[in-house]
Amino acid sequence: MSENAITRRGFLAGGTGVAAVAVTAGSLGLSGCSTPYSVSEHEDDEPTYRQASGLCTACPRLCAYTAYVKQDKVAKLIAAPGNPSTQGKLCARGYAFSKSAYATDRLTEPLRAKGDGTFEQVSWDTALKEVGSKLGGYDPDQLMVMHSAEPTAAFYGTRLANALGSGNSFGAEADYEPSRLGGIAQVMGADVTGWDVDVERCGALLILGTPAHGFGPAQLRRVIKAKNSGCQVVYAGPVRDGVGSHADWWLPVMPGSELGLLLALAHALIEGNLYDADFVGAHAEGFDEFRDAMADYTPQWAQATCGVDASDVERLAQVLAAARPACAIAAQGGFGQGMVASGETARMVCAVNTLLGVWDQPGGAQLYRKATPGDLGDLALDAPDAPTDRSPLAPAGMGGACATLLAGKVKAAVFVGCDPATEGGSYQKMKSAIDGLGLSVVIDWRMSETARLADYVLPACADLEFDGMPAFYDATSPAVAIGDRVIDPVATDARPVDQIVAGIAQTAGVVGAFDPSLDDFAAAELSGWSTSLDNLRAVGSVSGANSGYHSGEMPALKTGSGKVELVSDACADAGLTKAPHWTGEAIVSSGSLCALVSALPYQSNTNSAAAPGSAFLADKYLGGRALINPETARAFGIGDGERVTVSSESGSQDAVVSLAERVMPGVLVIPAGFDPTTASAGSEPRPVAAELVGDSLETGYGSPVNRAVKVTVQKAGA
Amino acid sequence: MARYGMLINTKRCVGCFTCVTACQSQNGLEPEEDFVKYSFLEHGSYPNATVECVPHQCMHCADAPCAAVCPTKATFISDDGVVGVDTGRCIGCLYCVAACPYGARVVNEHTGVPEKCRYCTVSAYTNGDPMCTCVEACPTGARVFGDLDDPDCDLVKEIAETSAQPLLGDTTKTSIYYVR
Repeated sequence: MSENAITRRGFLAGGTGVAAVAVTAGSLGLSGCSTPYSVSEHEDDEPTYRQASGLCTACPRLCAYTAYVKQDKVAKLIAAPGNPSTQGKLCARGYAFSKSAYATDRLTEPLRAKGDGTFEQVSWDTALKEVGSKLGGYDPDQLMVMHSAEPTAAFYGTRLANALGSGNSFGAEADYEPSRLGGIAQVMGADVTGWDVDVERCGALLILGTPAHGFGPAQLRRVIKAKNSGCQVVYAGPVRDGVGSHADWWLPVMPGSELGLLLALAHALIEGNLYDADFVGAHAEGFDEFRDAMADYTPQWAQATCGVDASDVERLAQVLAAARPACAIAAQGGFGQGMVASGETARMVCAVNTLLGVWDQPGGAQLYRKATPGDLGDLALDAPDAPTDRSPLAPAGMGGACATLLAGKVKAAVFVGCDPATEGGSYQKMKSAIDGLGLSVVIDWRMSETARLADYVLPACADLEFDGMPAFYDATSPAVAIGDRVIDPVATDARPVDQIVAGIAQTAGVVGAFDPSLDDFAAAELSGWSTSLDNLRAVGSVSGANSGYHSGEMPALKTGSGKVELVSDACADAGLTKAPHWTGEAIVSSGSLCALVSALPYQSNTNSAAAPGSAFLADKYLGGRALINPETARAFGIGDGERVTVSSESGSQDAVVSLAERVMPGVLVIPAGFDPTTASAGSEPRPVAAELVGDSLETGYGSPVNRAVKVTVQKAGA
Repeated sequence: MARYGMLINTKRCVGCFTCVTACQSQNGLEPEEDFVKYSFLEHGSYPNATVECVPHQCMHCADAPCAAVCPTKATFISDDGVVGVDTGRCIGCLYCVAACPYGARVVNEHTGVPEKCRYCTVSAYTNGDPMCTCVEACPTGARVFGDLDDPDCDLVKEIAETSAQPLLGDTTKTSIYYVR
């Protein structure tokens, strides 16, 4: 029978060895949602919708959309066409997360921990009074605020810390971005935070790994568009699925070994005289020193050190060189996130793109320009000194949250919309750190694992229940977007973050900082942009003028020299080396595996996993399975569908494995987004990645190494 | 009169689940009501392995078995090829669930009615209504919708160019064609 055949039995019992599809609906034992948001276009003769702007906070991309609401229920969503994160499309998380307001297990009342592991309900007055007065009793350097990427949480969280005299304000998502953005900044200057690829004219596109939050809608679209335009797509990573399954060429690379591939690729481009010497001469500094540093990184070295095939490296160099400058290494890959050498990998991505001469060239990489909020003017607070826990190579204002918590340097913490207990590295270490605080407060829409550990849990509005602060998008055409309050809070006592923070500040004794309204702050941030607050609320997403992008012209960079810097003194000072060197660990030894924490299309973290629609898909499609190459599984004596115990230095987790040929040998793919509570809510055991990863932070950049870890596997009960 | 149909190109599908959840948003479905389902098929062995995602849903068959077995004519085939469900006539016997070769039916746990894809994207196709149907929401352009009787529409041209085929042979005369 053709391997393409799907038999009826196949429909009912699942495909050939891959994520079995359970066909019977409604039998999954989920509590699900009550009916409130079931709205059908066919129920009314004349459906009338009101439209409002939404900002999805399932993941840090903050996709903008128009929400259509009927009878106060959120119905269809239409992605904002020009928004850099969407490019006119949303993703599975976005559609599912738009209904998080209706989750039956969301927080409904302020809670105070009783000290015996349970909570009691308290009134808002009581909660705010106690939290504020306790928080106000700490010295500024003893307290911290950690917030999500959602702009209201970010603005108000930061302002709360600053108003209390503390510079200890941290963006949670910024905790793994310091490596990727820091590495890019070392080479390209702090104003470059990414790039698009001119896919319609691109001849060869290299994508490395999978991003921590999966591929966003714009990125999915871009890769397929590249293929349809005749571009050769090369995917270098450990697992060939999703976008990778459409690559013309899969180059298996162990997680964290992309650095080795890039070092050897640079070597091959230079030694083979395949690089763009004119471009490098005109636009880069430090080439001689960089070239010398690449001398030992032969393709053969790469094969011996990190398992990449030497002939593949040579071939890749030829493919890219033949297409240059109409080629690029994509910014949206898995490099620079949560691996032991993530920052240096990011540096090398930029270096190789420079060798190929692709920056702002037709068919090449189109550099993002910064989207800058307007000056707050009189509304600004004096910013206290920045925390010293930020690593030297982290971009300004980024990183340090996990380091601060783990070092026990603060005694009080407020977590706004973030879940460091399961997202910040080792759950056990984070739990200890949070338990060791004198005061911990969580402001969130759901009972996250961090909330379970907190002294106070304050219910916040979910998406579409609050007017938010503007979100700014670095892009080839920088943009701004905003989310509106579209529906009244379904949990009627949930409050918007700005109100909660203002309430805490008041009882903490802060005077004046929160007198201006959210509208005042938002309007100030929009000064300099071609939109008023009212207009932005109405239209949702606005692109600024295409600031300075001209195809074929390399912009001046915010580096010391104004050019690309292939070597960095700052890196040397921070304990690395001037030019990137191999600092990775190829976790390839017999008896152990490299566990890779990988996003699922419908959940990339515990926040997105909490949307009822996402939880349903995780259950139905066995998203909790650990994926392993069949040959590797045989070597470990494990069969398809068997229960195993996965162990690392940090802990053990039970999981059920699925065999998958599309996973390279030596790798175990662990799903992201399960926490100790949700992991046990499925029909079979699901691993909590945070119980397996360690608490180490990357040298120089400071990001938690939380996406790859060495593990052993054996049959459960063995 | 149009005869609506769809093409699904698994060479463009990345298995992102957007169509599954977008359909739920567009049609006001519960989280457990998924009209679009996925089958994942792995091809080849490492390193020449890849995975194919095959989305499937009601095939809106011209010779729909569900319509044939429905005792009350709650399930009916309309003139434009859309297989509809008159929820008022449904007695919840679930014969249609058993009859469907594609497992397309999803029982609404509140009404007991076995529901399915409604080809709601017709409104986007004919009127340009902004919708987040499976077709409109797909980020990679893996789905094409159109009138199977209109030789000039993109759907018919694409079916011809790609030699797109029904998923499980032609016994029920499906209106969804696959490129694989």
